Amino acid sequence: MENLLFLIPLLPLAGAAVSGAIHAGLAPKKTAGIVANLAVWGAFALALTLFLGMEPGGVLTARGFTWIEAGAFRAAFDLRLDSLSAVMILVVTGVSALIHLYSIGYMAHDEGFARFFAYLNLFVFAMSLLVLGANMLLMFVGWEGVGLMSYLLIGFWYDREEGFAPEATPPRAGQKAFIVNRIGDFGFLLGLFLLATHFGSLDYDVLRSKAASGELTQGLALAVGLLLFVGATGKSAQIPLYVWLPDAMAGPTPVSALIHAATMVTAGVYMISRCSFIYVHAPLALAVVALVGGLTAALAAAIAVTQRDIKKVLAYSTVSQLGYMFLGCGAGAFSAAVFHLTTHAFFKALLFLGAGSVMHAMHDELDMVKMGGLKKYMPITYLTFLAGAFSLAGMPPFSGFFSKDEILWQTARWGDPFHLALYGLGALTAVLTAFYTFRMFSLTFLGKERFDPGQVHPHESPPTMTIPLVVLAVLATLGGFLGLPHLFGHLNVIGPFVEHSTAVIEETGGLGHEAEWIFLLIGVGCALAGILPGWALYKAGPEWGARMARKLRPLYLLSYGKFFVDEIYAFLVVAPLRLVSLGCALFDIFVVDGLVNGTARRCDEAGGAVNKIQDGRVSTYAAWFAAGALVLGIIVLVGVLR
Amino acid sequence: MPPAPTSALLVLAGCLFGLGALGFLIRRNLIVMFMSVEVMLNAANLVFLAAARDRGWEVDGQVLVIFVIAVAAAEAAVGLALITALHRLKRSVSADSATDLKG
Amino acid sequence: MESSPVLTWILAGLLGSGILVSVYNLAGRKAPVTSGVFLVLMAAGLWALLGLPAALALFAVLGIGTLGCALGIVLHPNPAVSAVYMMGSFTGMAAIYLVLGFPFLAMVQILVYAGAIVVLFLFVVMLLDLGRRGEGWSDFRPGPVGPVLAGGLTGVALTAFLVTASSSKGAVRDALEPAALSAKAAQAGAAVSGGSGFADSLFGKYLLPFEAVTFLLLAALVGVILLARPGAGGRKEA
Repeated sequence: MENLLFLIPLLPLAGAAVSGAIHAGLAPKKTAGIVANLAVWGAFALALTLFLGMEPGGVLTARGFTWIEAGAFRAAFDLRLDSLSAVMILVVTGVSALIHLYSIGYMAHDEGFARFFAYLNLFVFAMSLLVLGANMLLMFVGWEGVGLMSYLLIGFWYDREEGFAPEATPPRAGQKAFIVNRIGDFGFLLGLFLLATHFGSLDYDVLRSKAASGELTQGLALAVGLLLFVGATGKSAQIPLYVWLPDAMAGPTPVSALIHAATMVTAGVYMISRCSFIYVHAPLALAVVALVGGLTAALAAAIAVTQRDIKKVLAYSTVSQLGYMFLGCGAGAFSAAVFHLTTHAFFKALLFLGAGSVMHAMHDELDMVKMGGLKKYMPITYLTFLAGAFSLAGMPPFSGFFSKDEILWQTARWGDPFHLALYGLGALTAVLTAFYTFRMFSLTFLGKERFDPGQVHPHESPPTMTIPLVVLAVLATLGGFLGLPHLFGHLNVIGPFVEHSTAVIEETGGLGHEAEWIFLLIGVGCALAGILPGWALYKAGPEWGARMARKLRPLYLLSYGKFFVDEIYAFLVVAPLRLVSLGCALFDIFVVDGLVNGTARRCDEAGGAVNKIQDGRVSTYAAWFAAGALVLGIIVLVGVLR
Repeated sequence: MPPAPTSALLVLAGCLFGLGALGFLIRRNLIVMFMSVEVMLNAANLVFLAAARDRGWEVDGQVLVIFVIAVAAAEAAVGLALITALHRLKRSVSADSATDLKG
Repeated sequence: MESSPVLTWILAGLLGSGILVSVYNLAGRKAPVTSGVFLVLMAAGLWALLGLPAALALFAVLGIGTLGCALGIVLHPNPAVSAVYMMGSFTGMAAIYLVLGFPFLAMVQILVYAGAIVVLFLFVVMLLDLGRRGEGWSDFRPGPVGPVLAGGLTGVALTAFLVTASSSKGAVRDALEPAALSAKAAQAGAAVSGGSGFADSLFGKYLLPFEAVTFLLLAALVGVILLARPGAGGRKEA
């Protein structure tokens, strides 16, 4: 029964192979959509079945072949289904399945239809390896795999250049994503090496028992925790390695929804939660995680309030919400972070797919200033988008409220100045979040049309696109009840499944449960404080925003210019690296090639020189003959004379 | 009468060989070069015979000389046929005219 | 071969008249170079004939004659004349073989070399019409390379021969003792060249090489016929 686990990654892998064959001509392109969907829906069904058949706290391990056996180190291709990975795999396969369905409609007119589905399926394969791997090595394989698929999918339209800034064409964006991720992966690998050399294994079981038995020193835990977190900042787009995510919007919208909102970017959060048994031994690492998460959340929200590109708003929003998740992890509330991961997957995917629906209707227009009044043309999109917006803004009873509130509560619960400051940052971010969310909503759907309906003809999307929207909207609305807080009976499905350190907090004191009500109300207040202005000020159009931009020009420029982080990096990091690589290239061309080609040329010249002896004349050859004979004769003579 | 000393025979053969080599290297006319080669072969024959006589009139040396003469005859025939063919092609019997295999 | 005064006188007479002819030519300034060379050679020959012991004298004359003819081959610009000198050289060699006691080989030399090969050379020279001055006459190759190499080779050969001859190595030493050689000749008896011993060896021990040479001659024959055809000689096959 455990071996069924292997089918969860294998089904999408097979789907990818078949889709690839279809792309190469095996069958008409449309069939790829069906094949890919079957594969992913099958994987989801399997995951669901296995999950329902499991007792709470149970673990299902599927043992595969031994992959590496080197000295004391051993790694096997084992898959593990426990509470945490079950939640993750359900989210991954479920949301993936919905997005696969959506893509049939969205990518219907694309040349690379079959190739797209092959890539998507491959992504699900890699992501499921990441989630289900029973050791960190397998997780890393999946980690790299999703990175690769992200690169391929961002750069899916590899020859499209119009509409993009020269540095942000799809291929360049893909490269940026991969390279920035690679930087994070360096830290990740160093962490893995430390663990492997100290404990001789990367299996979660082994590592957990070593940590519990006290072999994990605080210093080692701190080092490993920080190094692994570096990897997380890359994959999950936190400060300082978040810069690839906004550029990744160059890819097709389903890709943005699936990879850069719901699943891949959450891998960092998953990884930290998985390694919670390490982090609980290193409070300083947790503090760093929380700080980085909080700052990222605030920074990204501050950028999102001025963006005009609807996908960019959603991208920065993702960065910001991921910050929340890391804040939760850093506060020790790993289950809250995973809960927010789940609800975020629902509503962020919903918002992205809704944006895709809008783009589909508006002929790929991205600038919200040129939209408006779409409410009457696309009612389903409008309603589902609204549900997602409420959820993102943290409005009860939508799911986003419960998860965000839980994180903020667990942060404030510590009671010390550091955590309270982080709470304040989180609350401020919540206000900004609600504000830009409803700014986005109002500009897009409300008010009068700021385009010519006769030219553009917006219409609702086909069912393959609207059905996933509806499903996600239901999940985004009702999903909160998966993890109700203590006050409401603590119906917490996820809670007992993740090892978290409430124990640590109990030790250091902190606020009691009574305070939870206060923070809950503050959360509602923050949401409203953002929703109302965002809706009211923008429902008639962008004029108010433009006025404020002129009045507060410096602030506006900072926000709209993304705080110039990209430009700073380009100057400090990219340019020097380019110089170094230019130097290396020159060395290669002149020294290395020069050596090799030079040797060849010398041989050629030498041959040419020797060639001159052969002048085709018999007499010359005879002369050489005689000379040779003479030399030989002298040698023999000298020998005889002795 | 007392026979000639072997050393004198060898000296004669050596000089003949040298003259043949000189002719081969100095002349441009292919036919004359060929003639020089025949002279060199004769010199070799003489050495064989001198050695044979020296060892008590061994038969092996004489047989060898017979073979040398036979092969030299065949070689002369073929070589002259080649020269004739070359003359037909190049209208010349100079050794310098046949340089097509240069390089 | 027995020496005889008759032979000596005949040779002396020939040489003497040759000297006179050369002097006459020189006096009349006709072909000065050739005459001069002949004069020197024949004078040397006469001196050898009169001054040396009989066997050596005969051998010396014949040797100088052969060398002179070889020199003529090398130095004369007219190929036809070179061919004639070649005949002289071969005849001289045959005579030397005879003097040395190999009559059969001497006859073979005359038959094949002087008789067939020289004729062949002359045929080709005449066929290609190289006898006229200008056509087919070739310049001598300038430069020291040829003489130096040839001189070197000669020097090496002579040094080798003379050194080994003057060494105390067995059979070679006997060469300085003509008497020993005569004794050996008497001993060898039937093995002297031309006898049945030669035939036994040729068709016994050396039968295989003999047959191989037969094939060689056949191959040469066929090759020559092919080469000498009008189509051969570089023109592409139709």
